[in-house]
Amino acid sequence: MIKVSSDVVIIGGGIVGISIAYHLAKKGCSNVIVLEKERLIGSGSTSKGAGGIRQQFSSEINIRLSMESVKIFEQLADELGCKDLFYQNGYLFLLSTEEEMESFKKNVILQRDMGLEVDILSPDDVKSMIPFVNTDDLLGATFCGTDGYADTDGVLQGFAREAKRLGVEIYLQTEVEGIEVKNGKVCRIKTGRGDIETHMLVNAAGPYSAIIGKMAGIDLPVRPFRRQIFITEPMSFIPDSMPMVIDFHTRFYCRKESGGLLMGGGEKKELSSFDTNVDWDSLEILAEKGIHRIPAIKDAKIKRGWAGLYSITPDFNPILGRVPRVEGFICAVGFSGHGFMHSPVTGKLISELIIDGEASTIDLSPLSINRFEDKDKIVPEQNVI
Amino acid sequence: MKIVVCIKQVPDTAAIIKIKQGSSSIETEGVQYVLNPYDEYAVEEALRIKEKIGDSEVAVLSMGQNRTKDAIKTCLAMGADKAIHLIDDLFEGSDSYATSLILAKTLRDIEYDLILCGKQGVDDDAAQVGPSLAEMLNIPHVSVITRLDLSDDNKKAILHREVEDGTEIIETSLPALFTCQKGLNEPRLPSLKGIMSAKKKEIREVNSEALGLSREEIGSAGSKTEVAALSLPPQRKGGKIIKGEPQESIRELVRLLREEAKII
Repeated sequence: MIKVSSDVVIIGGGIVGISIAYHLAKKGCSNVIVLEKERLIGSGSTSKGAGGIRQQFSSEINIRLSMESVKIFEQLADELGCKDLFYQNGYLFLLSTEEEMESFKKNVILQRDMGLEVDILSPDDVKSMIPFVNTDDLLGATFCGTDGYADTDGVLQGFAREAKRLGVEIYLQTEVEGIEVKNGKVCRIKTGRGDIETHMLVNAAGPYSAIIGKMAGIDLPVRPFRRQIFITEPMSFIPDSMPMVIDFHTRFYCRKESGGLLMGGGEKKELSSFDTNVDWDSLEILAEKGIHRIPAIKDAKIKRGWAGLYSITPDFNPILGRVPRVEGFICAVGFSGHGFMHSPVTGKLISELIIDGEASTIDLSPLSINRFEDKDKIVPEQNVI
Repeated sequence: MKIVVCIKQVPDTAAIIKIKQGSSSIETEGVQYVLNPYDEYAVEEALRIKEKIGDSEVAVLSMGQNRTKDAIKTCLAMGADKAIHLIDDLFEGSDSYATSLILAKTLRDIEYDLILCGKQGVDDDAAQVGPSLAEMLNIPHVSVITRLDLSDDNKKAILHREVEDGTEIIETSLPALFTCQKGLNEPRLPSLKGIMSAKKKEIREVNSEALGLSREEIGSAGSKTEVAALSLPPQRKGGKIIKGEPQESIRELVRLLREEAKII
């Protein structure tokens, strides 16, 4: 049996929904239900990501979201009572054109203004940092040493464990079938296992969030796009200290994983879809980009690959907060590939919004859905991988 | 030596299978497709023979929709030299017999010394296509092999197959067809270089017309069998722990095995 009513119902048991549940409970609101349609939490996009966490963005709001998240990630292992969740090996952005150099130098000024330590490196600096990177066609790079990557499952399970200990209920294999709105207020969620009365719903359904929005008559500009990751067998020349490397020009990226490399960024242009089949064309594109940047991987064997979904908005920034016309409907959607890295601060912000009535850590107005009303005013994030 | 490997693309064994409502087929949306695991042994064995004796060619043969190309390319990236992709809407719905017929027609125009197949596809587990194909081609076949050795002149093969309480060793002349079982070898993974070189390898598409096959001979019309219904295995019930003193609990266990489980 599932509970018939709850103070807050969170739709989606991915990292975003689970972080919100945890932060709500930590702040004293534990009459919370998380609904997950699959058999396990995090079995959608959360488990398909690279786990990257970076603060090097082009817009103030994303830098702020990341810096606040990094603060939480840095003390998360202690907070959740687990070990080694966050590897601050840094993010290295490799730059190949004058245009990229200019744009990244501008970003670095903004990032430094906001208190972030970022270095601008020469190709020689890159070579001495990672000798096996081909720097022939590079003009420079930027590096932030407090960026890195984290154990996505460790963070997810840690949040879930603490949330449950504090009283949160997580219902698996419970798909939302409808949302009842009365007099402009959310009043009931219909699920495959029964109805739940609530006046506060959080849409954290990731790639499926537009479907959830539609159930309450809300049009959310969030579309799913396939992204793929491939893992090589172990290679002896990769040091543990290797940062996440982003070849910004080609969007090829890689980091160390299980002794080999975790690689992504070989996507061909394609339309929005829920397709999560691994696509061979993308692997060919990835192989070409990867061998160019790191020639030593040409003999590397591909151990496995998988595809997940980005939830992309028109400006590649998330939609956070309330929506007009439907009271009690809160969005935490459209992270455009940054859901895991921004999940800690999202949990904190949404818990502030629900409990205090307003988010205080960061002003949420730039992330309101209202920004899409005037298409000319949309400023897209430039650093999207 | 000219080696042909017949391969099939199948749903990933880790995929959660759903049956299409009111139909005898499965829901394909959200299902990940892979190279049939038993076919990986066949490809690997072909590549090892080529590497050992030299002057050989490994051709991959597969029938299926457009997505089958991914499975074919996996084989080419592992090191196979070229491929034939049998692709035609009329091929859809073919059972083991019709599939064997299509493959046999294709192989009539191809020179080969050895044909290797996986012992079965992990989707329908029929294990029919290999032996049927050999029968249609009128060549010897040995199924479920765990070891393959060639004679010094490469005219004969010596095969091992696991049978109850022992190993059966069979010698046969070539050309012949063998179906491959786990234990035969450890299949290699494709390397990035292999993936790049696979881009340049030939994948020839062949349709029913090119094979001279009519609509009646293939697809569901040409099939000898029909899937009447499809159902998922019953959900596993929870286990039962019998507590108490050993003498009593064993008596209870025997009673349950006899009366409830009805297996003794």
